[in-house]
Order: sequence, then structure tokens, then C-alpha cells
Amino acid sequence: MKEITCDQEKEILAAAKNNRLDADQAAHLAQCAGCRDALLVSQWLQEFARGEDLRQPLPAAEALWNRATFQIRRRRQKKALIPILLFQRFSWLAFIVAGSAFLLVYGPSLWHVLATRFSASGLASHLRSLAPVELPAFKILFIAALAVVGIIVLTAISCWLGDFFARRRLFAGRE
Amino acid sequence: MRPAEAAVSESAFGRLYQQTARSLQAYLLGVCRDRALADDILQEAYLRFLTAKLPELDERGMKNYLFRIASNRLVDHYRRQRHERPGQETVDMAPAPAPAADPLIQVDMERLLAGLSFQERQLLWLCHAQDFSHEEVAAVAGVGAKSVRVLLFRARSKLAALIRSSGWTAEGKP
Repeated sequence: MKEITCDQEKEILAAAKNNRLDADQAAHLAQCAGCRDALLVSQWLQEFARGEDLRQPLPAAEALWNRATFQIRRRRQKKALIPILLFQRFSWLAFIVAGSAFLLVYGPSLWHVLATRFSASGLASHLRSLAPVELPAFKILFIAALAVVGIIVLTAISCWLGDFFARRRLFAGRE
Repeated sequence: MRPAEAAVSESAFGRLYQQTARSLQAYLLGVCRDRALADDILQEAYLRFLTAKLPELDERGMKNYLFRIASNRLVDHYRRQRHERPGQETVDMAPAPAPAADPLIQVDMERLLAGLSFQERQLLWLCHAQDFSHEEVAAVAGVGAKSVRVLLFRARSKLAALIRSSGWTAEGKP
């Protein structure tokens, strides 16, 4: 099998870099094509690298540090906002489920009320009369359920508005 | 100040930057031959380095890690470019003409480097201009440790032939 790298290559390259090639190494270099290639390529690339080094300004380390700090802060903010975003998603889901259930149970009679007695007081009294059982405890529970649905609706609307304005700011390039 | 998730302290980063920025920049320029791209990837590599969760590394390990990030970003860039503009790869991976202190010599050098593939430039640069060991070259370039010697040997023979054909000698300029 053909030898790929010469054992002395490393020493010869190091010696040549410091201009300290001894007679033995010089003699080896004259005989070994691999070492000659390595030396030629090494010197050529180092000369090329020196040329590149002289011309290029570098960005400031402080600027990079500040950008990294900013990125880390943003990442931590995003992480902290995850529970709020999850609650937003959950509130939408709860809103849809509660709304669907409400429409399923009271939809026909609500439609009837809206069609016949379209007024706020009429609707309120009709909703009170819709409580499934006349017991006060059930009435309280029913009103509480209505209140929860109302809160979920308001939360969902506020989340949607929050998202909407955040997106507008984002697209307007303010963030 | 040190953000809780930064890989190193600000002073340690300053030292590392002083030690590595020039060589990383020269490596990127030597391999990709595109100044704007090299600058972008240099900054991105340091940012990724600072925001990554690093294992315990000594200075040499940090330097290798940095070169590895930069190499991966470069490869990602070319992959994305190939995906976005199929057929443009050979043009974009060729060296871009750059102003030089000695324009004739620099253009000649860039012409010779253009005769090598991306991987050949990468391996040769890491090994001969940055003095990385074969194991370090393998880790940075994402090549098998056993393949490095063979790939390097081929790349070196190819570049040596190109250099000689252009009239260069080990003593210097033609």
C-alpha cells in the first residue's frame, strides 16, 4: 500500500516554519515528494492567510457580546411567555367547546327568543327561566356557568385582540 | 455582566475572540472566497457559540468548537443555496474576486484555490494554515477520522500540482 503521509512531515513543517531545517531534514526533503508537497502547500497557504489577515477589519467583540446577551434575553422572555400562550390556546378551545354546548342545549329556544322578543330585558328574563330546575342552588350554578362562559369569551376576545395588535406591530417593524 | 445562559464570561470571551477571530476569518475567507458571507458566518458563529449550552472545554476545545460551528454554518449556507437555486452551486462556490495588497499575486492565489472543491479547501486550510491535528480536522470538517489522511493527501497533491504549474516554488513567489 502506498504511504500517505511521511513520519517526518510534522517535524519538517515545524522546522521550516521557524527557519530551522537541519541538514538531515533538508536531505530528507530532497528525497521525499510527500514532504515537499506538504511544505509547498503549507507555505503557500500561510502566505495566502497572511495576505487575507492584513486586509480585513473585524467586528468588535463587545458588539457581538451585546447581541448574544440580547438574544439570550429574548429566548428567556419567550420561554417565560409559554404558559401565557398555552392559556391563550386553551381559552380558545374552552370558548369553542362551551359555546358549542350552549348552542346545542339552548340554541332552539334562544333562536325563538331572538325571533320573537328581541330586547335585553326579555332575553335576560328568558335566560333565567331557562334554568333546568327551579331550585335556587341550580339557578345559582346556572348563572355561575353563564358567568364563566362570559369570562372565557372576554378572555378569548382580549387574546385575539392582543395577538392582532402584536402582529400589526411586528409587520410594521416596530419589534 | 454575564447572562445566565452565556457559555463564557465577557472577559473570557474577549480573550477567546482576540485569539481566534483573525484565524477564523482567514479560514472562512480561504474556504468560501466570499467576503460578505465570511463576515456573516464569523458573527453568526460567535453568537451561536455564546448562546449555546457548552460542555466544559479548554481554550483549544473552544477554538475547535467555534471552527466547527462556522464550518457547519457554511455547509448549511451552501445546502440552502443549492436548494433555492439549483444549478448555481458551481458559480457561487467559486472564488469571488477580492481587492488585494498585491492584486496580481492574490488573484493568482485565488485562481488556484478555485481549482479545489469546498471540502479540499476546508481540509487544507485547517491542517496547514491553522495547524489543526488530523483528529481536530475530522471533528471540524465532519469527516471520518480515518478518511482525513487520505482526503488530505489527495487535496494536497492536487494543490501542489496547481501551485507548481503556476510557477510557484517552496522558496516563494514566481
